[in-house]
Amino acid sequence: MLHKFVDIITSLKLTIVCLAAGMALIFAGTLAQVHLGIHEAQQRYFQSMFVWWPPEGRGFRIPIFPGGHLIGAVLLINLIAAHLKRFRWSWRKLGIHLTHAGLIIMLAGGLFTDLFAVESHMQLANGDAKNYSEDMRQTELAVIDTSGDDLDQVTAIPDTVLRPNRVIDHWSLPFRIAVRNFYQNSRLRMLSQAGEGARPIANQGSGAMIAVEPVTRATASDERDVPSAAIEILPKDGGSLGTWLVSDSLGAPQTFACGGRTWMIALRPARYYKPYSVTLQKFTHEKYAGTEIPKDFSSKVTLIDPERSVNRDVLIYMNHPLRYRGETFYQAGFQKDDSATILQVVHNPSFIAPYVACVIVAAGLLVQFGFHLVGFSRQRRRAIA
Amino acid sequence: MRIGCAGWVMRISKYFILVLSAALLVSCEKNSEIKVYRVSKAPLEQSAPQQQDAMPTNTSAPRMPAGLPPAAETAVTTPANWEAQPLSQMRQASFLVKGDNGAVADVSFVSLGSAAGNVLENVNRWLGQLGQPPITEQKLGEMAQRLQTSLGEVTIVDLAGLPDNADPARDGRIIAAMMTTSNATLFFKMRGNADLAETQKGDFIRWVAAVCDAQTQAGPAQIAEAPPQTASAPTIKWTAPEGWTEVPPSSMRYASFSAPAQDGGKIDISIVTFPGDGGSDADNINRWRGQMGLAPVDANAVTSQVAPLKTGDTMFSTTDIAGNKTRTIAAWTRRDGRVWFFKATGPNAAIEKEKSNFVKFIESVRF
Amino acid sequence: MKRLLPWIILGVAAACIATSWLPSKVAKEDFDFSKVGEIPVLVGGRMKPLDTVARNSLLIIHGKQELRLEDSRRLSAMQWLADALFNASVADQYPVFVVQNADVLGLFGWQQSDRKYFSFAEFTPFLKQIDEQAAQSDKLEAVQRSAYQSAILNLRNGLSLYQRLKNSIQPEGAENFTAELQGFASSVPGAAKAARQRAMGENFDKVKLDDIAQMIKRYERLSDMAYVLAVPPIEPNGEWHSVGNSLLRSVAIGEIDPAVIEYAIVGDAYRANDRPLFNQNVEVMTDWFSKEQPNTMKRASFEFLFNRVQPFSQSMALYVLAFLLACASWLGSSSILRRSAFYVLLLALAIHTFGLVSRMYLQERPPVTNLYSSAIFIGWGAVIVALILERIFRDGIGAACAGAIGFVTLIIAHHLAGSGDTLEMLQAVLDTNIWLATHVVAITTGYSAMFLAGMLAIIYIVRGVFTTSLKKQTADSLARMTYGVVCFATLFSFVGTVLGGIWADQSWGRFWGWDPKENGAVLIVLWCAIILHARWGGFIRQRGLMVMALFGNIVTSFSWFGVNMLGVGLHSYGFMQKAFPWLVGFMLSQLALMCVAAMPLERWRSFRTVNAPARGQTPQVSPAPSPG
Repeated sequence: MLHKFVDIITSLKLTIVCLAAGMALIFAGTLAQVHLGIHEAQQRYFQSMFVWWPPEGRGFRIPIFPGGHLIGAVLLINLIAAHLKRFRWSWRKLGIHLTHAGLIIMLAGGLFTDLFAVESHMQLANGDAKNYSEDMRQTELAVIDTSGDDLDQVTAIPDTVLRPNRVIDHWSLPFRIAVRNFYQNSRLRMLSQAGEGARPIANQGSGAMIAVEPVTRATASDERDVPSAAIEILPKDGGSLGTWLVSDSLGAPQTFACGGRTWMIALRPARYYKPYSVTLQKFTHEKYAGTEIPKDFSSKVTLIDPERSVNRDVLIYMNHPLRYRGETFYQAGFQKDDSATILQVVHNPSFIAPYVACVIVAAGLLVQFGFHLVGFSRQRRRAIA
Repeated sequence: MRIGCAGWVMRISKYFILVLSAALLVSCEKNSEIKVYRVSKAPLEQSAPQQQDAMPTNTSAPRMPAGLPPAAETAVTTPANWEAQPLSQMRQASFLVKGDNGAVADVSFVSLGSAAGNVLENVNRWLGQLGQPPITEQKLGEMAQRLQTSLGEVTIVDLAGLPDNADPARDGRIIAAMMTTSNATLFFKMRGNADLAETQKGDFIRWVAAVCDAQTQAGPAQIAEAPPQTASAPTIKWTAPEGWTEVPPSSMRYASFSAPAQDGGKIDISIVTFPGDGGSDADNINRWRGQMGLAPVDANAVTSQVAPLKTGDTMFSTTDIAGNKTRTIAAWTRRDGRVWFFKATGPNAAIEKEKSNFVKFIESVRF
Repeated sequence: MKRLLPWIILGVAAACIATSWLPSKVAKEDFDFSKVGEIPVLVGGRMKPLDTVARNSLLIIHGKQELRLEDSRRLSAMQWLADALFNASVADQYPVFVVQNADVLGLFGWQQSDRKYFSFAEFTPFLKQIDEQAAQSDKLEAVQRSAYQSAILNLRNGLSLYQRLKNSIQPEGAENFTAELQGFASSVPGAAKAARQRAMGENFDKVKLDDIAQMIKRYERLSDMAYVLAVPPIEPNGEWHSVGNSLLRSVAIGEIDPAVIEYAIVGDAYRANDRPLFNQNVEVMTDWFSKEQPNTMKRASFEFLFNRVQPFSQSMALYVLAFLLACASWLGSSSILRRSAFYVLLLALAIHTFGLVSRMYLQERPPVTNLYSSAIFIGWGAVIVALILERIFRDGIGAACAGAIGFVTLIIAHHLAGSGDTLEMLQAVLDTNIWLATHVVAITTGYSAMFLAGMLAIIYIVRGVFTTSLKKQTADSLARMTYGVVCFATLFSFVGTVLGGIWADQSWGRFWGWDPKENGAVLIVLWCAIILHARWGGFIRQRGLMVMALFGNIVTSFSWFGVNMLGVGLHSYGFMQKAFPWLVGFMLSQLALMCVAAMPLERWRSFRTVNAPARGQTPQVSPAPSPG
């Protein structure tokens, strides 16, 4: 039994099966991107253990195909196990060993990136200074205690926790938050402009005059979901402060008092605060003469870090990012009228893995095929002679 | 042999799968945890390092630091050709000056938390923006001007330079003023076309003085008008001694004279006036001592350095400061809500010779 | 005699080619269209000769680079452009606009007939309608538009381009533009003075300003509509301006740019049919460029030569010839025909290389920058490797592959050229020569190798199943070639894919984004890996290798073209709807051939007659190298 398992896990057949399964998965996932959008297809096909049917919803789901993580994991195990079992050093096999070692590094690095990398955006208008970046996909319910003189206390609740009928009870808050409604993507309209029969889902704050309509998830790469939720504030010592509407499209936070302190709530893109700030001095958008074809975008920013006494100007432009304290700032885009720049902020501790892996695998392939070529030409020469 | 190898492989695969699943679980967790952190209320500093120990914040409505009432800026008159601009998040005053041929100059006043970097750092940053190399502390000392206001001493620098690819109509000169109080650092900056900045320099400096003076008044404008120095300062008369040539005054000086000294040296005589009391005697004497490269003296010791001088019109305080090579003699008086400084600086021997002339000059002043 | 035959064939081919390289003779009494075609202008951000503008514009509007009129006169692109620029009333009558969609024709109340070309004059009453309809279509994504919507959008774009051309150098319908300019020039100083006085608040002469105001409005329209920036900068690195813009600036400067005046004289001469005057002033302009901006003139002249020579069409013809010669060499007189094919291929490759290198020179970029240039490069790479194989094995197989692949890729390229300037300027994110030179070239080389392996497989299967010519030695050679080429493809595809990831990491911090093009590339790498592992594990032998190499053709064509048609992701450039049926057809053909190859080996004509293997025994092949 054990032998059989070991045989399978180290077999070449398994490798081929995994590679073929990977091809099928990638092909299906690529076609799926047309109607799902890149991000959703990525989640479903490549960043999961299985591809499920039906894809969404509660209730019974069956896995119909291994997902990217599973195939990758099995390939990795197969590769390592096969090598451990059949490892025999020889110069002739150097190329293969190098290639496979590099592949292991690449797969492992890819896994690490999937798990630990964080990507976010920083949008700056000319003259703006910010010390946080925002997640493009995740929103958070920020509950802020503003009663301090010089410090605000922020309790950030990720939107994955906001599900209907959930009650959030956290030590930092003197009230519980009961989620009455949650829509992943929604459209807000003033009651007066909404149709007949439209009812607000909140009874306090600006939400009392707004009608919320759920809409289908956004799939295009430049669209984002606008989540909304109706939350009821229940002070821990009894009573209710009413139901409030929080939404990504509301703009301004709403305020209420509880327990002698003033609180603000807002549903906003998840923020990642940094101990340094970035100020946009100038954004330039060059086009080719007489056309609208973009030639170059660049942002001149000032990086201020009091902890490390850094106060300098940096130019960020295409293919030339700013790398600072483990994060990298890329020129990602801009607002339509050149009024603001959008920087992509990436935190990826395992970014070096693909570089290393590429060099090793390329070397391995060259060595291996070089051997073949040499052998082949020797054969030819012998044949001709 | 084979079993051992296989068992080894088994164990490794098992651990690997465990590690993998744990990592995946952890990653799921990371998305759903509630975080609590603290964030500072003070607005972000745009051009200088910060001093908070908690994480800085950027609240949606910028709040100005306490101690500088916004009313101050509305109380200050600005030159007619300065067009007010909408305020950006950091600016408390913003103007645009337009000149010929599309020349523009951008004027701004920004107030930040105290300890917003020292003067040299900021000057070098401005030099960098003009594409010029940084300068040393010593050079800074030589080129900087000092302006006394009721808020304190303002450092003024005049920087020129045109970086590559810059538009000369909009760039080429930065005239900036900076001062630090106990709870704020004020930055005044005019950046634009070099010639235009030159013509506006006087107005700019007067405006800087006006704003600083206005800052000392809390609450609604008691200083309805902080008048530019020369425009509405009362006219005084004097008789200049022989050998003194009147030199065109700079924008800070009410009047300026030059007298020759032997060996080609020069004596520089100036009349300067401000509203208010212009700082204490100790402040001024130590300031002049500093200009001459001398160490400051104790405030108590200062009184021994000041001698009164009565003239037909008013009572002056005078002092005589001798340094290694240069010597400064000064007389000042306060009247009608203003302070007037009369100062002569030059080589030791030359001042010695001119001292009597200086005294006669002071005695000739009529308010 | 027989030994000289290859050289004779080569000589004849070279002679046919050479004629187009010589400049055509211009009759003294004729307009010197070649000279005027060399004049440099700036369009789309790139400096190019008027001839390129003419060819590309006509290609966009008309689908061809030549115009055939009803009286069977033929106009070259430059002739057509000259009429459009200077003689709009005549050009309006030329039937250049293509409309075939019945719904579009119905919009104008026309019935569908044999006619597919229409003139601008015929559309004049419907311009507003066309604009509105096209605006509707514009709101949708390309993949969502119906045939009618695509067609009306194309028509609108063509009409719009034509109108912009008409108003690039002169206002459309200007009669005596030189005189108009002279009038403008004389009023300018007075107007400038009046403007200054007004700015300073002094009294000024309103009449002078009003006179100018009319003309300024006219030139503003000219400036807005201009497609061609014809006025060169005075300083070497200055900016090009359109004629309208230059005239507006001359109000401030005080005088009119000499280039504008020259164009005016040339235009007037053209309209007046004054050939000597036209030729004279065209020469004045080219002389000015040669003196003041010699580099610009050199490049423009070179590009003019490049346009005229059409190297890719020439090499296409040579590739066909070589393919036929190589195939014929399998039937008889093998050595002579094979060598002829080889020499012809060398000539074709030389011209192909000339074209490739010229493009690099003109664009100042590495060889592959867009889909069109990728097709050119794939052909070039595959031909080189195939020629190397031919040199080693000397059995005509390499030559046949080279000819076939060269021809097919150049045909594909030809059809990709329809959207305009193939030497277009690159978008900001592509503005980096290092990555273009490494990642893109490596991936494209990988494509070449995959297609070559696929072609070898086609030859193996076709010759094996349908003819008796697949002897053991030939089969072995083919197997070895295919294996070697697959190894080569693996290396380049892998390195190219990873380099692309590194580029993405440097550009926006994400090494791998599951973009369709990235996925396509990794599919190729995975497929190559499967082929190699299957071979090393002994799961496939010769026939299996060939079948898998054939499937490699499908994977590569999906990666090269298929992903662009999805309309998703970062690499979604190129409007590809027309190519879709061809792509599907190609994939199906490969699948069919794979099924044919799956027949039992005894049924293959070559194996049936030569060996008569017992059931279940595959023909002996050379032992596979040790796995791994």
